[in-house]
Amino acid sequence: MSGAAVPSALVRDVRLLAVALVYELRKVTTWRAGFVVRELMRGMWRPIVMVFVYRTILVQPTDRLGSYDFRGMVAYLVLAASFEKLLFHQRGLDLSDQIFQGYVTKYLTMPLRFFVLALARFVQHVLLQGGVVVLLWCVGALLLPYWWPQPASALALVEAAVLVLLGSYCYFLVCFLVNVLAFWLDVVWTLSAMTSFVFSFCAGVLVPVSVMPAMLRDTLEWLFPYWAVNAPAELFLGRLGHADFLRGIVVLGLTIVLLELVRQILWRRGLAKYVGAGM
Amino acid sequence: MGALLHHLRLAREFARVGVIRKSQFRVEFLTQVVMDAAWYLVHIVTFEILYAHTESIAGWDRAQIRVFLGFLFLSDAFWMIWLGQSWHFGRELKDGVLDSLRLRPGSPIFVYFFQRFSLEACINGLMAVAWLVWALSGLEGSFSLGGLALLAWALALSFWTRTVLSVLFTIAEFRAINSDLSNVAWEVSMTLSDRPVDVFPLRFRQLLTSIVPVAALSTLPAALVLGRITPLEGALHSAWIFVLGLGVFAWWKRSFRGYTSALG
Amino acid sequence: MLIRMADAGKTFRVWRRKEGLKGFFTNFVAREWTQVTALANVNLEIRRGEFVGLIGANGAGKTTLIKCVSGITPVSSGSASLFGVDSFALGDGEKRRLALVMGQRSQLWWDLPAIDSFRLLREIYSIPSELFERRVEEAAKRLAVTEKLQRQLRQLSLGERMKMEIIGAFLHEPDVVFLDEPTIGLDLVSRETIRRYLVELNRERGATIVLTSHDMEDIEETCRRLVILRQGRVLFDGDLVGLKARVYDRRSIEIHLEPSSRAWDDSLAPRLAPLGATLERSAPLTLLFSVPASNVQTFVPLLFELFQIRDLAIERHPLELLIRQIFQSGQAPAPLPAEEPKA
Repeated sequence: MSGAAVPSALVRDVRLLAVALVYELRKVTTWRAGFVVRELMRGMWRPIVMVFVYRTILVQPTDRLGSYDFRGMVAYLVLAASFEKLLFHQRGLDLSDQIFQGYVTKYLTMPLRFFVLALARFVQHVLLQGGVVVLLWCVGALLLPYWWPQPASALALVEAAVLVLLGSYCYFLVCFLVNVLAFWLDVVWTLSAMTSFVFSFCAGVLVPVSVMPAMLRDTLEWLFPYWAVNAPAELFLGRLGHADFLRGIVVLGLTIVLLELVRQILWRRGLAKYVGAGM
Repeated sequence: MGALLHHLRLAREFARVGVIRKSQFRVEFLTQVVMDAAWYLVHIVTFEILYAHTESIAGWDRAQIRVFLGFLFLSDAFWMIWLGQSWHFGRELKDGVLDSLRLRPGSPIFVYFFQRFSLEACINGLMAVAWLVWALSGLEGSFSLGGLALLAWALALSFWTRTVLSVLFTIAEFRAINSDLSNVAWEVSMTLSDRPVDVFPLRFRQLLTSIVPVAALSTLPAALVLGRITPLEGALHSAWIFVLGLGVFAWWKRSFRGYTSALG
Repeated sequence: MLIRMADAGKTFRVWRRKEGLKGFFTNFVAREWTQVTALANVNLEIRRGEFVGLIGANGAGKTTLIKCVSGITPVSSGSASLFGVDSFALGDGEKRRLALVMGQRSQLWWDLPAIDSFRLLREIYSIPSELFERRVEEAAKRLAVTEKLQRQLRQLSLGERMKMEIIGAFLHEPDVVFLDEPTIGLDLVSRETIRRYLVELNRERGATIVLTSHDMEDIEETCRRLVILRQGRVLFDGDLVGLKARVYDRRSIEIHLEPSSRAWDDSLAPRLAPLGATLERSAPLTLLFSVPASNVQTFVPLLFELFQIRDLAIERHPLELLIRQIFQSGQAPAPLPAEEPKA
């Protein structure tokens, strides 16, 4: 017997996470053009197009869409686009392909928790996109100071960031769950794509939830997408207050607990049914 | 003529294979139908919300924007039915999957881009047709053969443009392997085409009408049917986009010659 | 001449990855590019109806050679032609006479039953329906996969998949077929079936076949001509029968030692030299010698004298040993007196 103590599961997970994170960072930067296209430009276009749409609606300074004038709407769209970039991207996880092609098999014989490898993708995404958002933010604030939104207070900035990060983790779990369905379904990219644009609508990325009809608005405020994009943007702008932040924490916290439970159950059942590819 | 028949037979075979493939993945069949239906719904709801606050967006009223959405949905359904393979181009180029195109007879553009027929998108196509018919019935004026011909022309323009753009965007991947440029360009074009191009500043509008003819996916066809542009203007746009398409196909074939397969 | 390569070379441009955190940034910002030579001055001519084995260690350039000559990728220097046409400018007419099977990459559709992929190929190659049905039936019968035609490709075993690939490749009765490691990972029975099928097709239809494999049995049982590549160059191009003759006058003697026996040490080598024997492989309790057939009678008693032997086996010298020597030394075998060297 070796005298060396086996590290605890948590320590092993953290070590694996660190190693996998470096690997993931190297991987995304291997293809430089792909890095610029995927990591820098993704998620920017729809808000820009919506700026032009709103410009044709909010022509006069007195024109309003809900409580937004054109300048307020631009500020909202900038924030929504930035926060959406921080959300995990459904194409960042190729777990369904790995299950379908049978590549998961090799990990099942290793003494590791597979979820840690997926988690490394999430951490990589948040780190990289965090850097990108900060960079874009500085450039935007320098070039377009009139249009660029400023945080209502330092506290509002922190609260918005906390909600976005928790929301991003929720969406990551949703992506993971959709991918895990590949244990039962042969192809799940359609579900992934659908999740993506339904999420985007519910999060108010293109149209603020406050502009939507009352019944729809009241429903969306109980779902996590609203607290991942719309609410942080309005917190940042000072349109929502500290009480709303606390409500957001509760909604996101409960969502994480629920999704985590479902994830563990689905993963276990999926593995029990898994046969890999080939005969 | 022989080549045309050969490619039509190939298309029939791709459709047959697509039907067989989807008969094996029943859940995917249903989820894809639901996915596109949800995509339609998001667009409809977004515009309905905006029209609850305004009468007109860039000169398009609610009835006209519904026709516009009809063309957008049909154009998307055409892409899903026939051109879904283009979504996989970047990865397959990187992995050397295009090797077989070099070895097999026939037009590599046709054989590659049209190989993935999607049966479920036909269902979505039917939904899109129903929406377009409903939107057109909400317009003033009566049904005529001339109107029907105009509609057929508008659809042909939209489908041709969709094919040309799908091929055009993949050329970027030849230059920058695994860059995702093709898919991002596709996403951008979809984003630009799902609002009338009249919302954009003049120069950008001209770019989208003449150089990268995103406008011909939904704005121009809808404008042609709605009488927002004259048939002569429509004919000039169509002729230009047809020539542009031939140029794009020639460019793609040239780029394909430079493809070096996966290393090994 | 069906296939001709003249001074053909192929280079790839790759960047050198650097380690560490600094490397992470320099890899992104300032890459160091280098040229990798996959093929260099390759001269090769293959006639109609030949069955050519192409072997070499990993990275020797086998797959690149096949890609260049089949028109998948152009040569960087020199020329490569197929059917008398520049390989990289093949028209539809030439493509109808050509097929490629890659052991590590399926040419068929992964999520379709093989028969549906074949029907698609029938349209691509414009094969008349009656001919198509007959060829599929016959080939499936010969390869014993008739029952599997209706099953999704991904649900087949590796061997069955490869048989389907081969059926698909021969459906349009090509004049030239390139097979890149078609037996990789297959069991003995599947390998044997595929080899027999290829030999029959070559004999019956006169199809020219170029086969790469790491399994020397594949080469020995199918090919008449052997091309050995090393670091992108043709090291040997000649008659396989001649090469076999070179090794068939030798014998391999493998001995298993008792644990109490003396072990091999280099001081024993001079005792073997007069008999023309060489040590080919040594493990703690196993030794493999190569010895001229005429000296076996003298050599075996010497072994019993030197070691305590538990078991002994004498076999014809496998071709594989000679090939291994060639790979390791990089030296082409000297031609036999009657042999006409091609490279």
